[in-house]
Amino acid sequence: MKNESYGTKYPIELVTYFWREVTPAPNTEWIEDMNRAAQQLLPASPFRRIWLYDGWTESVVILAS
Amino acid sequence: MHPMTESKEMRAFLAFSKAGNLHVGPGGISEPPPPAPDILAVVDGEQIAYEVTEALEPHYAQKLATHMKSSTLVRSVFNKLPIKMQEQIRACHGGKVISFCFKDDLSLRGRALFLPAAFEYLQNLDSNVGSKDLERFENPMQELNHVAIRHVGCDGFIGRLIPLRGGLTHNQLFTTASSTK
Repeated sequence: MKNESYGTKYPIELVTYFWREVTPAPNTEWIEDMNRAAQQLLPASPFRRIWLYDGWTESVVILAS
Repeated sequence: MHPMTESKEMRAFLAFSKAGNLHVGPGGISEPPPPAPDILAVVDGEQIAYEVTEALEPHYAQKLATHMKSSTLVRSVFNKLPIKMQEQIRACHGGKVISFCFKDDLSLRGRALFLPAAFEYLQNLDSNVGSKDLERFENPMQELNHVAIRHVGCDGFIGRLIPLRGGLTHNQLFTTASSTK
């Protein structure tokens, strides 16, 4: 059972976030890198979906689902 | 829940759910004990567990870590210099803030190996350098982008302004500071 290590019977989603305190690079290449990493991580992970919350723009993107 | 007592994960989740327009049911958010994920919420009528984790931009995080390790490294290398050299550098450049801006691709090991030469460079600089304003030396060595030296001045009083119980009052502190000049 995928969720066994988390001890929950509910579907699990991963929310990664960064706040205003952390200055992101001016380009968005790193978001693309995270997107690729999330796509690779998802199949073997207990997560149903991986989100990224951008505290700078107060926006949310789905990295993988 | 009071904002000051909210966990970091809860604050992040609330900001995330607001930004993402998630339809979280009233009273539908809780923080179950480990090993369950950080947040349990009812979203669109479905119970979902959320693992909430902070992300750092990888290159930024790496740079930050390298910077912090470099600061420690500089102090460590300085403390291992011959005592006489340490004293000479302190005598010439005491009271200044000195920054070595390394080339990005120089590893920590490379920095450790190079730093004695950087201190030797400082030792040979005129002691008047940096005595007034910020001075920058561009590309003084191939391992460095620049060296910046700034004099640290203090024209005012430095001390505790809040009286401790049984301690000195503001006036007494000022008097004490003045009398030690």
